Amino acid sequence: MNVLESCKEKYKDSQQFFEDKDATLFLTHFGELDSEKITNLSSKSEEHLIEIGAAKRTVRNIFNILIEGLQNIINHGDTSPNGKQLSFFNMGEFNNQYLVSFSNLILNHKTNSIVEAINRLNNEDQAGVKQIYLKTLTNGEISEKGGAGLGIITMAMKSKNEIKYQVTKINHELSLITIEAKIDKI
Amino acid sequence: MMENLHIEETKCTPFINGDVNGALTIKGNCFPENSLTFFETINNWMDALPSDLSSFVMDCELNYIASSSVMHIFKLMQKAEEHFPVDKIEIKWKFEVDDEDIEKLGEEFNNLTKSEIELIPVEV
Repeated sequence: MNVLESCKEKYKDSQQFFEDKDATLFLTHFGELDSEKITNLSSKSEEHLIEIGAAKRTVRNIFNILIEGLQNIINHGDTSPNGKQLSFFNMGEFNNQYLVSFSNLILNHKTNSIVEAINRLNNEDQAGVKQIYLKTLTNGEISEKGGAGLGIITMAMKSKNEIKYQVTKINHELSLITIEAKIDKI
Repeated sequence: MMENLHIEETKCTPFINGDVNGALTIKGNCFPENSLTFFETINNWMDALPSDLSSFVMDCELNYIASSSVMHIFKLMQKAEEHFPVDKIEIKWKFEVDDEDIEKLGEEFNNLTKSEIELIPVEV
């Protein structure tokens, strides 16, 4: 199975997950991303959440998580052998929560540092996460792609839940990393 | 001769107005695809401002803002403090009355900068 087929297979599984859990998958995307797509997807999510009566604060938090997650893919996602930055994301509604998941290709040797960063956040309470956020903000380092290293920290702050992740090795070079943020209904 | 700075608002980038007499307005959403490229123009404009202006007013009214842009806005505040005496700087941080996150962000900036940031709730 090549990289594209593996990603498509995983995408199918990710959608099946919502069906198995009797959840409503209301926004999904597979393929490359750019600024316009991010704007369209985040606007659609906002419109839908307002339509179903989600609290304004929840709408804002999800919108922010969506932007961070999708920009994270553009800034940090690696490419398939034919140069495509393959990725997908799903957003759905469960009984008591909304769930947003982001998946992208990543070079195998880079997975550890991301996993460590997420574990570090998950081991902190909200005050601890805030401290990490402020420390990173005041360090002031911005990458060439415009990333500030605040994306996952912001997701953790807005989600107020543990950030789940899954790494699936695709071949000797690439893995698929999935990051999940849950937002409680209020 | 230095000129005013004007950038039109888009769905993902804010309206920017830089007045050479010492004012910078940032209003709207701020999640550009590459924050470095977007803020470069504003940084360059700020760098070229004469430091002997009688005052510098930074007026921010942001809606959705990506984390990378948060860092850039903070850097603009720091740049203002490097460029002008603190007592000549006025920073206004406007937020929708029920937008706690943007309000808190203003409070954080207030704790992190030497300048006094005026937090202004706005009815929508």
